[in-house]
Amino acid sequence: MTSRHSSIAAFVLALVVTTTGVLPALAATPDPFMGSPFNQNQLLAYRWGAGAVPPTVIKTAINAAADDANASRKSKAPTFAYDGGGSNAISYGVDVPCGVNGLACFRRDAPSWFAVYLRENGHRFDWGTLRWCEATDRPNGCYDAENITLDELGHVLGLDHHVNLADDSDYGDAVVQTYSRTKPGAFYNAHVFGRCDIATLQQVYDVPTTSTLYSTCLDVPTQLSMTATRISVVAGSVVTFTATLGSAGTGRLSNNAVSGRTVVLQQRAGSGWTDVLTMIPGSTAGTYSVGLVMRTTSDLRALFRKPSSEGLRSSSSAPITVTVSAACTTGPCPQFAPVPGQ
Amino acid sequence: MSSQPVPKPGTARRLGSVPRRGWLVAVLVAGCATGGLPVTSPPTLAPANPATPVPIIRPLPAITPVPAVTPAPPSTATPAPTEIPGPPAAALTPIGKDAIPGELGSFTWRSMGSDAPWLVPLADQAVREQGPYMVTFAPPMLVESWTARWAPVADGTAGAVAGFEQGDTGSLVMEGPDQPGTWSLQVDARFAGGDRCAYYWRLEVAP
Repeated sequence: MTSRHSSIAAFVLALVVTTTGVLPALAATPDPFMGSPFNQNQLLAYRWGAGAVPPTVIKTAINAAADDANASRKSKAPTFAYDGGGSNAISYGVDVPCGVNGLACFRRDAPSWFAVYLRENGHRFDWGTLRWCEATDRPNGCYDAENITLDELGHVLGLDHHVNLADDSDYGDAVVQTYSRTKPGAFYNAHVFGRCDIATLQQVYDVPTTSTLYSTCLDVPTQLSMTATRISVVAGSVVTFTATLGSAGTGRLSNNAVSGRTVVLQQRAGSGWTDVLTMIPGSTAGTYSVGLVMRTTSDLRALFRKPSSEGLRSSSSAPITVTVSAACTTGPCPQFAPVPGQ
Repeated sequence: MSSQPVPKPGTARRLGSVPRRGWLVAVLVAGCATGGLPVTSPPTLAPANPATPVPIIRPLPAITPVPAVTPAPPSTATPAPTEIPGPPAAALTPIGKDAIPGELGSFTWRSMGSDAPWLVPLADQAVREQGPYMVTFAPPMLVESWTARWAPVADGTAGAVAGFEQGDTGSLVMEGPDQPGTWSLQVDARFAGGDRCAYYWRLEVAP
């Protein structure tokens, strides 16, 4: 084999090695995370960079992007606010440390500081001239400064570029993208974090409340338990069932109470289960209760069905058998059997 | 991108499949291995032969913060401005041909990053050979995973993604588009440590 042939063989063997064993990406995944996080709900105040103050229209776009980030984070990620004395800088102009083809860029050192840079309108790249939509009359081919700034603020929070599906059909699932689109491309002016941006923010910074929906870009397990006030009663007695729903993910998404969802009480029927009642949210976060008049001995459990509106998995509690005896008609009648542990 | 051409039916390569040419070369490799190597030799990735054309690419210049726009928090938390090594340069080598340097697009590197459009390199930087292609980096970097996408070029802009390949640790080798035309190839490489860089090449595939 000649040297050329042997090098070709190595080249081709590498091709075979790298194209086999590759699994297709079937569903959108949360954005990768990079570096260290800031603190939960940390306020990140920014000022304009010295000698690099944006024109008014770009200032407006940047401030709008900060509001967009705050409103759409759906997590305990830090918030952004303009403050002339802020310890972080957002700069605009000619002298920015972005890559040679970069529209905008960032630096971060969490939890201490960040910096964001936007190139000046009219900057000439090899690929063309930069037009910010806000600084022009929004011609086709312009870049939306509010969207690009939101992308940079996502990076500041720690988001890396979204890993798109093969055909990029999930481009709208993230603002933090490997490439930026221009007007009139789809999502060129997205002004809220996408579901896969939010997914990572929730994983890293946690959900803000127990009733906040988990991003549909997540697939978080849940755990459901249930107790009964009594497990042995006479017919016609009321038994109260209380279910507790929690997240069973990892890190920040473990052991969170999960409120405001639909949990049903089910009764065993033959080899399956049928819904009996929808349980009512309790006074404690993550709890759901319902009282049931017992007529016959039954196996009961609580069920949380995976909602289409969020990224939580289904779960069910262990069944509880409530033994029902015939009602006492002639005295003396036995007392109700106590629930073990009560 | 002002235009979004619709990809031609059948041009998108499905994930996980070994392309037609891939099967062909796999058979050829099997033949070479049987004929040219001891039968008992385990299949291994041979080191680059000294006679192989070596891509000559220079690393990108270090990215130096510009004092005028460097964040200057009033606290002592601000690090002193220092040179930060930037992303590596990348080159694409068609089999048996010279390397063509790639255009750096978006990247996240250490504690910084930059966002760029989908680039369409100029025609004088076009790769005019068909795949397979190998991508190398200077300085050499260990790639943990990579994706390659290509989009048709019309009026100097890239259209919708029409093909895709991906791989993990090992050499970054791909087939690329098998349809004639002008394409913009994006390679998104994730390096050991988590840094990611996107590079672009213009491919002009002859009929």
